[in-house]
Amino acid sequence: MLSIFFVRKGGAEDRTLRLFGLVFCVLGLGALILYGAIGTKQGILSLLGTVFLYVTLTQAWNILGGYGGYLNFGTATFFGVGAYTTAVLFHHYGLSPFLTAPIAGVMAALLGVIVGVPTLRLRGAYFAIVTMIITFAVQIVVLNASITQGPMGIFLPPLKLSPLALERLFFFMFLGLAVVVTLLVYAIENSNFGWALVAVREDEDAAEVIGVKTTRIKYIANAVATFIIGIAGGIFAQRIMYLDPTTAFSFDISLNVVLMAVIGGAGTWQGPLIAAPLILVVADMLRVTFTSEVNRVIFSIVVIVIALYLPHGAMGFMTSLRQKYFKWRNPKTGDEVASA
Amino acid sequence: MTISAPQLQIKGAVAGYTPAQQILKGVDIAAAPGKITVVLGPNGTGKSTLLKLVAGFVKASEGDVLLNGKNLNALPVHERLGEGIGLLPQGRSAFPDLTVEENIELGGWSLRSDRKRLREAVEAMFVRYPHLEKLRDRRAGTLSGGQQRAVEIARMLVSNPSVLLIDEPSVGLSPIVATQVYKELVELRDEGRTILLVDQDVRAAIKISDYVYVLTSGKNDIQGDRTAFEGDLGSIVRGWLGV
Repeated sequence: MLSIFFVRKGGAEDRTLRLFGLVFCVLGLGALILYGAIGTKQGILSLLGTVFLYVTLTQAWNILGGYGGYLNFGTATFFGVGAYTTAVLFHHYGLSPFLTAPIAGVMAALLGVIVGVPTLRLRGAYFAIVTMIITFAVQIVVLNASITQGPMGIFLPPLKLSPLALERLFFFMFLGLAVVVTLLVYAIENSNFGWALVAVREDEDAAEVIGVKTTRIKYIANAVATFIIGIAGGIFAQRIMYLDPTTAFSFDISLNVVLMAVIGGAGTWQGPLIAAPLILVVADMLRVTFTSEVNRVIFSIVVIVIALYLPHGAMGFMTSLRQKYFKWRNPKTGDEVASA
Repeated sequence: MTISAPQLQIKGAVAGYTPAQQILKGVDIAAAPGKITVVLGPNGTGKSTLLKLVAGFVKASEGDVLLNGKNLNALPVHERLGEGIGLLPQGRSAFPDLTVEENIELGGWSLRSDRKRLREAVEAMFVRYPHLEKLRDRRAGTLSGGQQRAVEIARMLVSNPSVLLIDEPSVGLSPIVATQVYKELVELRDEGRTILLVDQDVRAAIKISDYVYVLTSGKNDIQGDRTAFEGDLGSIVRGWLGV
């Protein structure tokens, strides 16, 4: 049933697995839609809404971070810029965040391009550190700007809906966004653009040697990712109704996204679908059982264990299971595929 | 031997990684079509920089790079590859987490808009290198050094370049595998490809060469055809070492 998580390409066996996977995804999506429509537990609807938000953010991160191999700790920068764009437009011009969410995406992408030109020349740890610093820099600007009301933050009046209806609304908004972005990432994975990103991740110099325009590819990936993150931030502002720089640019957002990508399997469209619910549900359970600090310690240990024993995350583990138990034959040679 | 109608020419090239520190200080090289032109020299003399200059990774502050008379100076890397240049960089460059087939397929990046032609080109590489056929689905990072080099050569050839820039092809390989690599270079030459080979293995490089340049301190030192060098390898190397 979980076969879609195994497949990249191959022969008839893979097509069968792919079909099973597709059926599984459609059924899962149907169940979620059904629950969103008839579910009455506000807490669960809220938690699932957050799961979909993080699926969206992690998929967006995945484009440059997972496929392109650029470890980015700056998701919160673009999320915060998106959130503040809709909040400021509402505060000063009375425009609904639902209408201005695309503008939030454009603003975030614009910043992504401006920041990306100098930073995407860096590689490895240097890039990761700079993306982190940029979040703090933008946060300080927002803290001191009058248009954003500095540390006071911006209130957005609640929508005239019951609390349950509100949760339902955001459940479906973030579900829709997560589905669209997952389909986009799936398309990217199977496109020339995705291949170019993988080549950049594997060896950027070698990618240049074969003719990949690595700089352009990285800029496009960054712009697409930040656009999506900005939209998600724009909608998020309406959801929480009060925006301040600490919440909007929280480093936790960046950290959670990287955590989800790594645990799920960076560079796969399935990874965020596995890790986002897993981490958020487990974190919720741990928060109830322990304090939030203990919760972080436990997650740190989990990350260390995964880094040591599952360097390619849950997807890497499932792929190795597939190679062990679901051997298939090369359609051209008829040979059983050797496990790599 | 005088080189007539060279396919690739480097004229008075001055280039380096910073404007203040030029590695190449006015180098002239001419690679004749269908021949192996070897560039030798001590470490740090600019041999690899020369290939990077031709491929477009390094820009010339002075001088020109000409391919069939066309000046390549203003062209970025990918457009130079489109002109028929292939580069085999020094050291391991196969994509380690991708399979052999995926590596070769990526080598045909310039053919990506024509899937059928790309598939044919990839399959032609498996016909050319049958030992890679059985490794088709193996991750390149799990292969031996020699197998990885074969993948890199196949990846370079899949777009059928006419000019090959080869940088230290035998580094890190066992003598037997290195011999096979040099044999392959001769075959590529015999197919009519132009090869500009940069190498530290003086003996092996001269053995397969048609014409040899020696660079010292980023400048042309001596040059001549293979026979002029074959009997005098010892003095060349002693000259580099300054003894």
